[in-house]
Amino acid sequence: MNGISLRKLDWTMLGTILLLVGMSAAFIYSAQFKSEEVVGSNWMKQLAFAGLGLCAYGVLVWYDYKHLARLSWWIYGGAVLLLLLVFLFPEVNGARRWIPLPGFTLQPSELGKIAVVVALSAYLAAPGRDVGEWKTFFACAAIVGLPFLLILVEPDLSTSLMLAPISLAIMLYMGVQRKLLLIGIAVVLVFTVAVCVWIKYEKPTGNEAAGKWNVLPRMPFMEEYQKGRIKVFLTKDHDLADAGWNKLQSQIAVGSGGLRGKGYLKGTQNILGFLPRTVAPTDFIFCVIAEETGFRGGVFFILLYSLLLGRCMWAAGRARDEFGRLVALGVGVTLFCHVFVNIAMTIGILPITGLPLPLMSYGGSFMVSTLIALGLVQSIHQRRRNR
Amino acid sequence: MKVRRQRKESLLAIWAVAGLMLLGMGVLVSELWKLQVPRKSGFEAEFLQQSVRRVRLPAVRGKIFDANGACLADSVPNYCIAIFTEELRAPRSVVANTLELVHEIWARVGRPPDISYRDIRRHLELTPGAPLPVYRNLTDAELARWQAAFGRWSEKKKIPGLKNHEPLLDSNIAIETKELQKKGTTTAANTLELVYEISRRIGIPRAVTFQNIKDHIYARRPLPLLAWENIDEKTMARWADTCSGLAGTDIYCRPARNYPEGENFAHLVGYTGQADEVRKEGGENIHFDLRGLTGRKGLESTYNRLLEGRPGSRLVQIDVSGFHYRDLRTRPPQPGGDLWLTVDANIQRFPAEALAMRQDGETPGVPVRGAVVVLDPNNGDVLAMVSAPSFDPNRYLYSKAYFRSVQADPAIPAFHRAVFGQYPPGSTFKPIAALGVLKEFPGYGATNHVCHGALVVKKRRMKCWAHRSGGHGEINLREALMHSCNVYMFEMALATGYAPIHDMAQQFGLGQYAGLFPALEEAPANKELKYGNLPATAANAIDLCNMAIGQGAITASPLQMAMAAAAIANGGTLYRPRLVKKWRASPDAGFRKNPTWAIRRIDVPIEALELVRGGMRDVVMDPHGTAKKARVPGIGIAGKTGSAQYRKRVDGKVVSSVHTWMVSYAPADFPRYAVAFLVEDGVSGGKTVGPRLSALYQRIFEYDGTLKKGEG
Repeated sequence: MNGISLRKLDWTMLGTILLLVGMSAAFIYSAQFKSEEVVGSNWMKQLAFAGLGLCAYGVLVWYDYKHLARLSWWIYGGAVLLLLLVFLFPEVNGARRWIPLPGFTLQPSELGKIAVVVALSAYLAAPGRDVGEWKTFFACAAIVGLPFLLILVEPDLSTSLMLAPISLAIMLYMGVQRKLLLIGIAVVLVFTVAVCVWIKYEKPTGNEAAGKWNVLPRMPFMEEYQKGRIKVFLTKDHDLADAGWNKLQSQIAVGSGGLRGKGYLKGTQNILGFLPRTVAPTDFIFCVIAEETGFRGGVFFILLYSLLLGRCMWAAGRARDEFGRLVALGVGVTLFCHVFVNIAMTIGILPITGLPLPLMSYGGSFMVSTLIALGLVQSIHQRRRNR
Repeated sequence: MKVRRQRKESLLAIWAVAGLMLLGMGVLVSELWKLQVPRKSGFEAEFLQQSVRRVRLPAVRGKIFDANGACLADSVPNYCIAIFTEELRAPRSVVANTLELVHEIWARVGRPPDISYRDIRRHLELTPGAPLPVYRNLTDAELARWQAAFGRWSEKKKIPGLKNHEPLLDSNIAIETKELQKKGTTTAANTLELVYEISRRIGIPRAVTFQNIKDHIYARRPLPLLAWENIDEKTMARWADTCSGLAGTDIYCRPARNYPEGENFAHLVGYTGQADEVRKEGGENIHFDLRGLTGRKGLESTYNRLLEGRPGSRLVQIDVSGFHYRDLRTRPPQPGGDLWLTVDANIQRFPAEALAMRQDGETPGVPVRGAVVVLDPNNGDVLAMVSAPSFDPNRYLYSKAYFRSVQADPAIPAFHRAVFGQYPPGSTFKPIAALGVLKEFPGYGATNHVCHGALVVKKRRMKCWAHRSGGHGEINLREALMHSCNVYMFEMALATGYAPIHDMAQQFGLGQYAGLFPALEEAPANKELKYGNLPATAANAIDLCNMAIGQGAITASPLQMAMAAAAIANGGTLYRPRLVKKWRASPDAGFRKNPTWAIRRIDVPIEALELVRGGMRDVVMDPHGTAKKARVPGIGIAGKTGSAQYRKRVDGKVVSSVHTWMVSYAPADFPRYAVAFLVEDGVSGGKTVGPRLSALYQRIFEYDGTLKKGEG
C-alpha cells in the first residue's frame, strides 16, 4: 500500500493544479471587483475549498486506489443516496440540486459523476468480466442510467448529459457492444440535430417573433429557458432578452479583450456590470480571463488545461491495471468535457449551459470533487508501471 | 471469455482519445482567435456602443462690446445645485421610501398632503411602527378620485405601505411606515430625499417635482440633475455651510447671458434663448446635449455662429444600469468670438431719454413709440440706434410671464422700429425730391411758385399745411424747404414728372437693402431685398403730388432716412451703416477690422446740394423755419421736419394720425452727427420732435465736449 516515493509524484500535474487554483482566486477576485471599496470575499472561500480539496487529493495520493475497486459499490450507493436526499430539501430557483450543510452547500451531482466513473470502471475491470455479453451492456446502462435519471429530474439537464460522453468513452474503450454504441451515437447526433431544427421552427408563444417557417408544434421535452438557450445559439439574433444577453455580453467581453487583454482588474464589461455579476465568477469566469488577459492569456489557460488532460492520459497509458486505466480515462474525459463545453459556451460556439470551468469557476463542491478526481489520477500515476 | 486487449491496442486507444481532446482544444483556440484578434470582429465597437455615451458641451459665448469697450452682452455663470444620481443608488432609507410614497399618493389625490417633511421625520424617529396619516378630511370628490386611481395602481401588485383593500381610514389616507422599513429604496426616492434635505438645510423651497426626478432618471440618467438653477450668493453660501458634506450633490455652473445695458440695447444686441437639441454633429451621434444658448434676435442672432464658439464633447462611460461611471475623454469647447461695435453706449442713452420727454398736448401715461438713429456722416458708423418702447432682455430669457406680457403689449415693444419700421417719410422727403429736380433742371432753384394754401389737382383739393392762413405766397425752392410748403412741391412735381424724383430717391437708397448686418468675412453685397417702398411710377397726378411730399406709397425706415441725411451732410456719399467696427474669432485672436463701405457717390451737382443744405439750415436756424424748437444755442443745426399723415384702425374705426419726423445733421458746417428722429402719433414734426431733437443734441454735444455742461 505504501512505498510511495515523492519522485514518482506527478509534479507537473500538481504544479498545474496549484497554478490554476491560484489563478482562480485571482480572477474570482477580479470578477467580483467593482471598485476599490467594494469587493467580495469569495476568492477566499474559493481558496478554502481548494485547500479542502487538496487535502482530499493528498489523502488519495497516499491511499491505494485499488481499494476503491472493492469499495466501488459503497461509493456508488452513497452517491445515489445523496442524489435521492437532495429531493427532501426545498427548491432553490426552481431546482433541487443542493443539500445545505453548515457553512456550505453540497451538490451531489458532482460526486455522482465520480461515483459513476469509479463504479463503471470497477465493474468493467473486474476479473472475468465478459465485455461482449449483453448482460454487461445492460448492467453498464443501469449503472449509468440511475444517476442519469436522478440528476435529470432535479432538473439539471447539462450535468446529466455529461454522463453520456464519460460512460461512452469508457464503454467504447472496453469494447462493450461497440457497434451498437457507435450506431447509437450516430442516432443521437441525428436526434440532436432534429431537436434543434424542431426548436428553431416551432410555433412561437405569445411574445416571440416568428418567421414564416415557424409552423411545427411546440416541443414538449424541454423547459422554456433551455429551449431559449438553444434558440439563441442557433441564431445570430441578439435581441432575445435574457438568454441572448449573457451570450452577447460574454462575446463582447471576450472579443473586446483583443490580443493583450485590458489588464488585471480592468475588465470593464465586468466592472460595469454588463456581464452579470452572478455569472461572472462562476460559469463565465473564462470571460473575465479572456477580457482581462486577451488572446495570449486565453491560450495560456487552454494550454494549462491541455497539460492537465495530457497528464491524465499519460497516467491512463501507464496504469498498472485496467481499473486504473479506466478511472484515469474517465476522469480525463470528464475534465475535457467540462473545459471544452464551458469555454465554447463563453465564446459562443455552443449554447449556454450550466457547466462550470474545473478548478477556476467559483463553487465549493465542484472544486472539491474535481480535486478528488484528480487525486485519483495522481494515485494511479503514483503506482504506475515502470516502463 | 474474451482475451484481454493487447497492451499496444489499449495504448493506441488512449492515444486516440488524447488526440481527440487535442483537436477539441485546437478548435477552442481557433475560435478564440477569431473572436479576439482580427480588428473586424466588431466586438470592440459593440462594447463601446453599449457602454459609452457622448455628451455635447456648449462653449462659452463670445462678448459684445460698444465703441469704448463697455460690455453689452456678457457670459456669466449660472450657478445651480446639482444632484448626481449615480451616487444615490445604494442606501436603503425609510425616509426616502416614505417621501416617495407620499408623492405617489399626492399625484393621485390631486392636492398637497397635510403633513410636512418635518412631520414625516419626526414620526419616523419617534413612532415608526405606527401608521402615518398623510391626508385628512378628504372631500368626496377627492375620495372618489383617489379610489379610482388607487384601484388602477394596485391592480397588479401590492403597494408596500398601503393596505390593498383598505386604503382609507375614515376619509383619511395613512401609510404603514413599518412596511417601508424593509423595502429597498429606488434611486429616484433617494434623490427625492436628498432634495428635501437640501431644501430644509438651506431654507429654500423645492424647485423640482418627483415627476421631474423620474423623468430625468429615465431620459438623462448619466447627467447631473439640476435641482435649483440660478441661485444667488446667499444661497450658495448657505449651501457651502450646510450641504457641502452631503454625498451626491455639488455646485454646477452653466453659462448664462447678461445684458448690462438692459433695455437700451435690447433691439440692437438682441437676446438669446436655449438652443435646440443637437442629435448628430460631425458625423458622430450625440447622446446628451447640455444645451447652450443661441441668439434669437439682433446681433446675437445674426452673428450667432461667431459668438457661439465651437462645442466640445465628453465621452462618458456608463454601467449596465445607465448610470454615470466615469468620464473617459473630454474635448474642451472653444469659446466664441467677440464683437466690437461702433455704437457708443453713452450716446445710446440720450435718444431713449429724449423720446421719453413729454410735450404739451401728449397724453401722459402712454409710452412714447418711436425710433432714433444717429450716424456718423463721414463714414456711416452707427453711433446710436434706439427703438421705443423697449423691453428688458435679461428678464425676457428667464421669465415666461414677462415674455408673455411683452408679446401681448399692443405697443409691440419687441419690434425693432429703427430698422424694420416702415413709415411714410412725409416732408422729410422734400430735400430728396428737390435734389432730384435740381439735377435734371439745374435752374429750378430760381423758379417761383405761388402757394395759396391749396392746389386743385384733378378735382381734388390738395392742401398745404398753411391752408388756413392763406398759403405761403410766392416762394422759391429754398424757401419752400424752409416753410415746408406742400403746394410748391405739387407744382414742381407736376412740372417735372415723377422720374427725377424717383431716380434721386433710389440713389439715396430708399426702397433698397441698407446692409446693416453683413457677413463679417465677405465684401458687402447689394442683396435684392426691399426695405421700405419706392414705387417705380406714379399712378396719376394725385399720386405724384402725394409722393412729392413723402406720402402715398413711399415708405422708409428711420435708418434709411438717417442714411439719406448723412449723405446730404457729407456732400453726397451714401455710406453703408456700419455697426460692427471690429471682431475677433476667439478671445485670444487679434481683432479684425470690419471695413467702411460707401454704397455709392450720389450723382448730384454741388450747387444743388448747397441749395438744399441751405434750405435745411434755414428750417432750424431761420425764424420762419418749421423746426425752431430744435435749436441748440452755440451749435448750427440743419434739418427737415416731417408730419406724415396716415390712417389706422382703432377699435374698429378708421382714425387719422400723424407720424412725426425730423432728419437733421449738426454742426451744419462740418457735420459730425446725422440723426433721424421719429415719434409715432405725434402732433407735428416741429412741435413733437423738435424739442426732443434739441435735447438730444444738447446731450450729445456736452458728451463730446463741444458744449460745456450746462451751457446753452
